[in-house]
Amino acid sequence: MILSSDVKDSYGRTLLRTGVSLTEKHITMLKAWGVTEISVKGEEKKEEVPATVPDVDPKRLAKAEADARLMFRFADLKQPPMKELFDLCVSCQLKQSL
Amino acid sequence: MYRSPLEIVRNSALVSSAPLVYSKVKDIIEDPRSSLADLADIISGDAALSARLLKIANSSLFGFPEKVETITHALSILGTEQLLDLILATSVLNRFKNIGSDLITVESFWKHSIACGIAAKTIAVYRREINAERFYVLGLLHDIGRLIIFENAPDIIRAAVEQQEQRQLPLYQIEKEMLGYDHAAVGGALMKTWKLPASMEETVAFHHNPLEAAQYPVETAIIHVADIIATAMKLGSSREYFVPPLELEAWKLLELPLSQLSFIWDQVDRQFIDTVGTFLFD
Repeated sequence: MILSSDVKDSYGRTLLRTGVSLTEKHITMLKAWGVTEISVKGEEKKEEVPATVPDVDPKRLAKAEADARLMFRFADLKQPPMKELFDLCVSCQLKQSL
Repeated sequence: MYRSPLEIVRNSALVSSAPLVYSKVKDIIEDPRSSLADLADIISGDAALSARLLKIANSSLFGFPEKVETITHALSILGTEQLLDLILATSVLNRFKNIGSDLITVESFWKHSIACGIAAKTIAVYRREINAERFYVLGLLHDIGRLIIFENAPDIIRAAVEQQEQRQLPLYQIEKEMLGYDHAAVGGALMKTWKLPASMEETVAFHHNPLEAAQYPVETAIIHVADIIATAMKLGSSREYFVPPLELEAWKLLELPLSQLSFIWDQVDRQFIDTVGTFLFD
């Protein structure tokens, strides 16, 4: 991907200039600086959407949720941010146990 | 038994006085007659500190596009406030290097602190806070009070950890029962003793009860939320097993969309290993 305009940070400092060919390292750096959108040159590719989301074994899911509930014992899961964090925690545990 | 957070800090061998290089650098920065060269001289005189600062400047924490190879270069791009903060962080890490035991592993403690720091900085960047790196350092230091209690009264920590398991209660609540104050208050007392900015003192002191932060509610809310995220991520541990409860009003103050949580989680994940390597290892 080639940048079609300069990328600046929130202080107005130029991080990368037009024409730079983006690498993984650039993308990591941009994310660290909180940049979420950039303009690139080139053709638009159609995103391939996966046909199905792989199913999780219900037993593994139940275990991951039970473990997370122990840690989140003092959290109020009716609060949307805590529910979100709980779900992230469960996903993370599922990935780790693969 | 130490009757107050200030007392335990003042009696601590490790933290009763601010790090010397920090104080020297602060004096130079505050002296209008001093120059960048004077600063570079002081810092270059400490080889370990110089090496660490260069490593930090070149890490993903800053993400500068060019390699930083000299202290003078680092000073010109870091800014004096950031520099002081980083000297503070590295000095504190250094002081507590050898303190661990089976009870608190220093490496695990700092890993949790680093995770909190990255989360806090990510929130600060999103909110376009000035000097987002300050929040990294605040995250790094938010639980320092627990190491201080451990240094001076290890039996208290041992008993508190046992009770956490038996009674299934948050560790910081048990600290408060046993001592009359918790590690957050001790951390705040450290900031005060070292004459650090009032914002740092309040943020650390109230990171578990952010609504009590009268002067710096937003900064405190950032660390409060970052600590919760870091604990949920289980990256290292300060022995706090349970994810601390969220003060919803503090969350609302930050005006973060819910979707930002997975972005923050992702950022901590991406930057964690590199940042741990930068700060903890040679």
